[in-house]
Amino acid sequence: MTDNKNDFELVNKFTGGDESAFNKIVLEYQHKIYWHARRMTGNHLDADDIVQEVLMVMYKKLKDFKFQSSLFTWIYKITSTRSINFINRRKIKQAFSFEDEPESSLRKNEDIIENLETREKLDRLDEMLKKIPPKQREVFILKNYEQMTYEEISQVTGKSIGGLKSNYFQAMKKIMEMVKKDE
Amino acid sequence: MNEKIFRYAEGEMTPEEKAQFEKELKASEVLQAELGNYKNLLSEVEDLRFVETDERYFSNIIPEFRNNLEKKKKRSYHPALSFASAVVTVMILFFILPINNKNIDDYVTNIPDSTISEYLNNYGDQQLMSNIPDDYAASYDSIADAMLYSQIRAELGTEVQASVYNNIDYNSLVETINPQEADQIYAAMINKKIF
Repeated sequence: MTDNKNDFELVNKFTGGDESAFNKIVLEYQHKIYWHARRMTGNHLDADDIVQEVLMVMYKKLKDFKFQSSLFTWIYKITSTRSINFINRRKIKQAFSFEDEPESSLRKNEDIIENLETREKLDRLDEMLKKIPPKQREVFILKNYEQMTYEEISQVTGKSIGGLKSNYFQAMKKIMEMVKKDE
Repeated sequence: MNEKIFRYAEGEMTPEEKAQFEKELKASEVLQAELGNYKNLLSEVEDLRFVETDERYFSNIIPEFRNNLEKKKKRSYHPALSFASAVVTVMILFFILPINNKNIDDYVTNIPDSTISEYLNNYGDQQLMSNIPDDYAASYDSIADAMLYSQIRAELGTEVQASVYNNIDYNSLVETINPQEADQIYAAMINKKIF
């Protein structure tokens, strides 16, 4: 987990007018923002769009951030919300799209993962995650990839721990069924 | 998936439950296989936690953000541009209508896409404005309003709907909408979603 004292100093510097402090915050968290968005959306270009959206929100809203949670939690909250909104918007666009090929399949071909085997493994898991509801996907990702506790996930999502455990169980159940079908 | 597998693997069982389940596990190959599959899945996910990537992408995130920020700042000084473009599109279609009050929907449906593209690409604002018959000029604003309102209502939330309904001018309206939303409305209009 990131050093809270360092975050506090950087946020204060940025709100005091030091633009380079914002860049340092971005450098600290950009991998986490990207990968959370990537795992939620399942492709690189969508994740890239979300990264830029999240940075814009951070830039505008950091002046209002009062450290009621850690900066880490706040950033994850923004990233999760943006990702879920993006997924929902994509579903609506695809439902009403008049294009021959859904946008997401065109966007799928661009990636920053260089190892083909890793990319295939990730794609396989991404395909399974896309088939479960965004809220269940979110808990699965935060718990397994970010190794967050239920308490931390509750701070990010605003959901009760009981609800999160239920969502996680449903997510695991569905993924296990898909894995079994694949075999 | 057996819920007991989940609770056992996640450490959710009481000591008594765990002891009981471990007896069941020892006696059942099915339960052992299911637990094995569960652990394999978690192991696969663990392997994908840290993935090597092309770091050039991450080096470019801040420059791209700063570039977007600059564009956003410049754009805020020209708030009506996107809507002006949409209105010009409506005007172009009025220009190619015959002057006999033919129904817009019928006419537009029969116009080939190539014709519309040609007009959109070849006609500048000045040329267009000089060719529009005077008696059509008054109709443009009301029809453009109706079309924009219809699209805005479909695309955006109630906050913006209220702004449109209360006839707040376009400058104020665009301040509420972000550039991506404005682009979306414009793209939908020239793709004939309204027409």
